[in-house]
Amino acid sequence: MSELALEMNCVTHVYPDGYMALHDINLKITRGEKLAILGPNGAGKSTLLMIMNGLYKPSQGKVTVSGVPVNDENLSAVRRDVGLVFQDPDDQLFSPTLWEDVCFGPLNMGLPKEQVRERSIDALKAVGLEGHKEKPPHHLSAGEKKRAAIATVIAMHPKILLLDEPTANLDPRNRFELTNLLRNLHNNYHITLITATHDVNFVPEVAERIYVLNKGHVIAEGLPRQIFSSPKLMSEANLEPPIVARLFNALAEENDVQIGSIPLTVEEALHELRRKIFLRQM
Amino acid sequence: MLGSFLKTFQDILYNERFSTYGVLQQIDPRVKLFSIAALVLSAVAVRTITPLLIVLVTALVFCAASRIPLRFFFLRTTIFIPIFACMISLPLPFITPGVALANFEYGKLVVVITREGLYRATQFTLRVWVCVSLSVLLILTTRFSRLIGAMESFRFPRILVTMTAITYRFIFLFINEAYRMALARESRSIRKLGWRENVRSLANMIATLFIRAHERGERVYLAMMARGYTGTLRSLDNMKYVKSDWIFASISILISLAVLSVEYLHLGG
Repeated sequence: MSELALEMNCVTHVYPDGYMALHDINLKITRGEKLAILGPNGAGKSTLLMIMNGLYKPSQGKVTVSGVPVNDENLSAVRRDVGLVFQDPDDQLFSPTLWEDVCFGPLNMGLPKEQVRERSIDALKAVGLEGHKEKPPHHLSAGEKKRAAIATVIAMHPKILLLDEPTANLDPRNRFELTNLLRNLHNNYHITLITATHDVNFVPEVAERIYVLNKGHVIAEGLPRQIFSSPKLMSEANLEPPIVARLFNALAEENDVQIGSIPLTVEEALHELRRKIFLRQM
Repeated sequence: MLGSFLKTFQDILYNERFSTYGVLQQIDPRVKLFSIAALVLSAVAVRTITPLLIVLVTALVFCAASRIPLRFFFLRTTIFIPIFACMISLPLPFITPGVALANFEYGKLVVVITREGLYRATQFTLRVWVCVSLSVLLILTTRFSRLIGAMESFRFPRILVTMTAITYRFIFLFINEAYRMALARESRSIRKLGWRENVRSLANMIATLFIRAHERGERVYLAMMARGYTGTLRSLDNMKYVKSDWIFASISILISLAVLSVEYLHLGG
């Protein structure tokens, strides 16, 4: 029986102006899972992440992190376990130098100074920014800022990492590096990864399971292959399948090609194509 | 027009720091903060020009010793002088009673420029310039984070230290934002805008910027809370005084005392 990392029961959130951002959300996330919350703009993804970290208190419903209910008494414990990377790194990096920003979280945890130093250096190394520690954040590029923001959170050694639209404003190279970074974090630290995004091409790279969120409702849950193979679901949520899947769907529709399972990433597509060529040559 | 102004402002602010090889750069930030404060206080306490000139010369000597190009330093320190100090001291020559230097008559209105007034205006502008120079010197030769550390170790109120640190961090962001807004506006203006239209769009821009700053502030605060912030900013730095720090502090205090004695013991005549 795998351990539950995070659970949400009947969570509803209404903003002070009466806007209902989330409606009756039920989620179960197991430890070490890679999960995506997929949804169009304005679906309520950010609100959901804020609630997971205890920044917002849901209007109704219950949130449990590692079996402990999120409430005012154990907020600091929750925030130690659940790290949140904001969409805009400029919201997250507020100190005069990158080093101070990375130390900020561990210092708040009340760790001894030696340990703070050690963790911060490790975090900067993990994101490849150890040479930039004395730089002020406004001298970093967009990609560096994103990685810096991630470093400030992983220095706290969270068990669960929440990322809000991590690919926003990244060029292809930085996006590729981000994918690798997240995979490494997951493999090396067995971190539970929760990515909220509308980037359908990114989702198969970093998620094994998906919740689809639309207008504050969870409208579907399943494996990426199940989710992306439902055209009705995709159009309902203002989304579309990853570009590789669209290509193979089009090929399959032409009928002369039989495809076992629609690939979602370039690697999968490559594998599928190689298999086809190999079979034909036999 | 607005765009180019913001760009200049941005350039000046971005040129934050000079190499680590000057004299002032080696001094402990706490000592620097204290010494510069002593000099500023002495400059504020005097009412004649001679002691002010002593402080100014001191600032320029420090500047040269810290390998800051004098031309840059001049530009950087004088840019705010004409705007603020001169504007404030402009009426002084006309309203201070004293020996008349010149009379202007416009019908029934008689305007008199007095010697005392001119002296006061010069003294005021000079004092502002000296104080600005000293603070700029401090900023240019000290990493901002260390300055914040110094404020902390002098037990400045927490809230003030935190606010200073955050203001410094986000001023660049907002200048950038204002600059982008100005560019976006300029890119859409086909004809030259009239004075009235310019003022109106500037007002809109300021309002928008204010709202954005407010929203940014909310998000920054949330991001800090997400990382366990409870109201106290903790620091990792341990600073130690060395011999050169004591020497620098003594020199600064001696100069401050000299300035005060020139003024109050009438040594300079």
